[in-house]
Amino acid sequence: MDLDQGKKDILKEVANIGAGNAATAFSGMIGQEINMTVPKVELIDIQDLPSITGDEEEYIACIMINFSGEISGKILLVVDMENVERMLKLIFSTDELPEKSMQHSALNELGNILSGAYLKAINDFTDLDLDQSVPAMAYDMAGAVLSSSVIDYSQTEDFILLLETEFIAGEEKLELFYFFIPEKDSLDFLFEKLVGGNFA
Amino acid sequence: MPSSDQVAEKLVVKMADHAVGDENTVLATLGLGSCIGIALYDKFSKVGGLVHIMLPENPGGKKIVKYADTGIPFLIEELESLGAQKRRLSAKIVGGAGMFKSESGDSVMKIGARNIEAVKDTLKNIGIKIIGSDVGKDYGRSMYFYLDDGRVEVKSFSRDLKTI
Repeated sequence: MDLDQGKKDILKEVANIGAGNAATAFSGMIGQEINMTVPKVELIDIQDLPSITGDEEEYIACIMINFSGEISGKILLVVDMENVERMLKLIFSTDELPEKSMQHSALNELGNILSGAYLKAINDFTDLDLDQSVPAMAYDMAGAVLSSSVIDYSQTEDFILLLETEFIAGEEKLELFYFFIPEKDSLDFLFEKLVGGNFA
Repeated sequence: MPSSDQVAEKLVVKMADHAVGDENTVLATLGLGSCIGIALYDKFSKVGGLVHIMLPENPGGKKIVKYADTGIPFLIEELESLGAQKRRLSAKIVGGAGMFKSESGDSVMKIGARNIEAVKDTLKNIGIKIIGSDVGKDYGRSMYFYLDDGRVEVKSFSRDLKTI
């Protein structure tokens, strides 16, 4: 996969617009101010995927949403378990967590809202028509979860393109990783649309 | 058998990779989800190897250890060059979980199950017996393969350490 600086800059802009809108939605959900890192665009070896959020044996929660339409791919939201609890307390505005099924529903909803906001911003900007799937979730070792999330993209590819943004919420510095992973076959279409459109 | 840990050399095998060693080696692979770690061991020469496959069949990819059907034969060749004999090899397999679930609790990707089937088929066709396995279900696993006696320890969250 070839990715020159020009294309990288385009993807960075896509990530910036998408993540900016998702950060606003996230802020609304947890009632905290969100700081967002400058998006990173990286082509990474699949072998390194298990440790993109740090320790591959760390206990994390991951919400995965597939999107499809004129381009397709995945969105992954990753939070370590300690932060999940703090995040849920903010969502429910309480110190005592409700029962597990309510917690799952809340995380599901978080996935829907944060992916919806990102995709909507991309849609407004590029005019691409995108649909999102219902979220799927996994709670386990980072390596086991992350390697399984994009396994269907690694059939013939040894590299994965990641658009990564980190959200840091409130004074508690609660961290959430946001990964936007376009499928390789969608990239040419995306570049064509963007270079010919708003970026020209 | 080496009596203390400090003589053992520990090698960590990444996803879509492999490693081999002799009785002074511990081969580890961390965070297996739907991937499978296959430990092959010749207990007479105490030579063994570990391959961490991600997918069942190789459609023509260059990284042959990423796939069960090409990764396992490749590991056997490596072991033979170190003095192991194919007819004496036995296998222990770990992983092949379904990690992601929808809100209703259904597993959303079936790759783990397909990997288990492909690994079992490949080993059967070559004539290598599976003498230990911890596969399937819905949780991640790390495995540690001790080449002094061929034991494999499996570590998971909130579960007791399991030796196979």
